Amino acid sequence: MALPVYVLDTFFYASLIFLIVAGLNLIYGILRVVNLAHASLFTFGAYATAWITTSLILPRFGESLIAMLVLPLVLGVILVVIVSLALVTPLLRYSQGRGDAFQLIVTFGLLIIFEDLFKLIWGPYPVSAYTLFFQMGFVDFGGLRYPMYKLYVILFTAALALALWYATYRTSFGLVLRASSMDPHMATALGLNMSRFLVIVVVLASALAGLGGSLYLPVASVQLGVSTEFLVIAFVGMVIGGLGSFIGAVLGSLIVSGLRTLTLIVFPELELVVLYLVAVIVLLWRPEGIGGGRGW
Amino acid sequence: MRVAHIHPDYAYGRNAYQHMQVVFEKVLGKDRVEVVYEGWPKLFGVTDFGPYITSILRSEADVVATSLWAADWINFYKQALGYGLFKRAKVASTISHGIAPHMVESDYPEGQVAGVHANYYFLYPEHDLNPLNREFVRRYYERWGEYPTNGSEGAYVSVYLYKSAVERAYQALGRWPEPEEVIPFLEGASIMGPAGILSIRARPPNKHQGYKNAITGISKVDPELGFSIVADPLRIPVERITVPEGWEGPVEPTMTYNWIRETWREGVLPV
Repeated sequence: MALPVYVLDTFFYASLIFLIVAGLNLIYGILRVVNLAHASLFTFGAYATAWITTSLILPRFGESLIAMLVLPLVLGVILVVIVSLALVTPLLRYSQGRGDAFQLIVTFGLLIIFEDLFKLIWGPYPVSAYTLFFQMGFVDFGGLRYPMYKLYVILFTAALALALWYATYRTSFGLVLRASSMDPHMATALGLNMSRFLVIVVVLASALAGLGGSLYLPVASVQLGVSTEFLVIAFVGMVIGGLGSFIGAVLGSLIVSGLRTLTLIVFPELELVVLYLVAVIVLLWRPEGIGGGRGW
Repeated sequence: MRVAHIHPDYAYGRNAYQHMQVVFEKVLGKDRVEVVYEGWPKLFGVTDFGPYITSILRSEADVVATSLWAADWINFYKQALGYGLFKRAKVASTISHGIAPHMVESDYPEGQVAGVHANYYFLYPEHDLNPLNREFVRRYYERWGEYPTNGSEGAYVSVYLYKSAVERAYQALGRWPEPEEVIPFLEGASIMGPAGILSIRARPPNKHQGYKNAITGISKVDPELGFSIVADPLRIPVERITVPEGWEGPVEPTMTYNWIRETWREGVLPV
């Protein structure tokens, strides 16, 4: 009887992970850079949303549902994209083609910079804005109760994933995306302006991550260390699903979240161990990931 | 009594589990306590407690025993409100109100066992009965704009205890003491602070440990203060619930655990 709630929770968590992994895969697929700082954009989105909600939205609009649903999301994502363009893009561009070790160090350095930035701006304490979560109420069924907000996140992300799928497989932009992730050099040779394209890709990836953070915030508080928590899970999802692939992002996030829920039901302490174990098995058996590493 | 335990997976959480369990079994009787769930989220490593809450609901526990604290607890209780957990089970927390008082907001459900940290909650001893606490809280609030936590009181009273020990050492030695010479004047020393008496143990077990009388209570929203407070305080002399000086026994997991297991009588409240 608790099964539907477990399933819903799995989809909820998968939604958040998908928004991070999709961006990770976009950046890896097009730039061939593993961005360790990507989850920091997720966290930044959460911080920004908390700040926008408490200092701009609540004083001006009170507890208006529409205001709380739309404005922090939109403004938060815009902020994340601006920060990403300013801080992240130049460094990613610089790390292209410089080898894995270089990329890891640079993006890891970015991760640390972000953590310190968070501490500088918001302090070491948790920051939260639960108003929207409670405002949306709950749905009761069969003696159990589920927060409406989580349902909203699941549906919103599903719609977004559908839109991404459509953009990837049914538009010319998607065609270019897939082509340049399969063979960046050939794409340039065929006349694609990779420099400008890179910016578009990073903006898209950052927006997705920031969106994830913004959707996540009403459910929990954000503090230092959240980046690492989600980064680790997202990476496992990336590996299991398939590096640089859209299907990989979908599959990876669903599998990781499902495994997590299952482990939490059966043997909670082994949560991370099980995830790493499955990642190792996938790497040994099918290194390109379950979704296949054929690019985006 | 069906108990669901959820604690952070590190020393404090593991200890809290063991001590809560051994006391449940001693006071209620082993056959009247059933552990129906154990959750061990990583300390500050889990922000979405959904599956944990659902598992607790599924276990049909009467009581949720927990030592989750700070952001973990706030996330947990806010999410648990969303799942209706507080309608199904009572929560007994070792430390739910052990943070800055204003941070436990008015949506915290009433009637739950609300633990505090290091045996200090700013409202007790009551301000009309204890001018030391009243003045401490008042001056602290004037200076910092918030009410003091156990850390504030601990820092305050410790400095004064150290000061009094140095003064006594000076008197005894006739000169300014070296740090090591202050130690004998701290052992067995005690001082009246805002929380009540702080005393330093002179002999093992837990030599040099500081002790205050224990306090816990029931959560209630205070309309004037605007946040959830600890009401109906239960005060227990600390020597009733911790291993006494001079007791000998196994050290793992803690001596107090073994002391309870060996010396407490079943079915009897130790107060």
